[in-house]
Amino acid sequence: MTLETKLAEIRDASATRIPPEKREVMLAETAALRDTGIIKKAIQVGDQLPPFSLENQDGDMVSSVALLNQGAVVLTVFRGHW
Amino acid sequence: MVELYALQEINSDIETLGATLVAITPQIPEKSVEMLKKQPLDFDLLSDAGNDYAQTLGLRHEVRGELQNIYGSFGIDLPKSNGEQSWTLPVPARVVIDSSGIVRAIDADPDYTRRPEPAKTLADLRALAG
Repeated sequence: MTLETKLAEIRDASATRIPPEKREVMLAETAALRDTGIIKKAIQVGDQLPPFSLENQDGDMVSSVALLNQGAVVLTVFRGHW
Repeated sequence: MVELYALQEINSDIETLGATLVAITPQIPEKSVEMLKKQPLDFDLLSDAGNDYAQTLGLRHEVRGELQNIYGSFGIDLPKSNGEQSWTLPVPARVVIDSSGIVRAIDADPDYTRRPEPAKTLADLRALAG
């Protein structure tokens, strides 16, 4: 199953489970965020990645420098598990 | 979260291509541990307290009042999950960075249900070698 199939299921489920008045606000907030132009102002292809040093799930510090010393990096930015 | 588990499925391919997969999230490490107990991942979840690093990427945004209330009604407690009171989140994003630290691909979208396929990221990584 593709990721898109699963995401489409989430969209369908939220359309049926979330009360319309709440869903309307959620969609409007997402649209408002998009309209700020945040994606165009964010980091772009060709930019240098700002360095980071962050704590992992085990409490160990992981730095971008250490990761890049091993090769390319795929960074996925995740809002959280609620 | 669906995206993380989809990326898990290609993690061995990412490694074969000589790259490292890592996730960044505003949630506290304890929350990540709780999540991983239910369904493990074999890559790191890094905690970005207050979305400070997301801010340097230009991806941090505020969750406004009305939406805070809606999240609250769903039982989502961001101050608890994130261990701080800023009511901020990052825009979901997937970034491919080459070994010299240059961004070579980015897919960011304010709608968390609009995400690229993992296969797209593998193609991005293969393009680095080419």
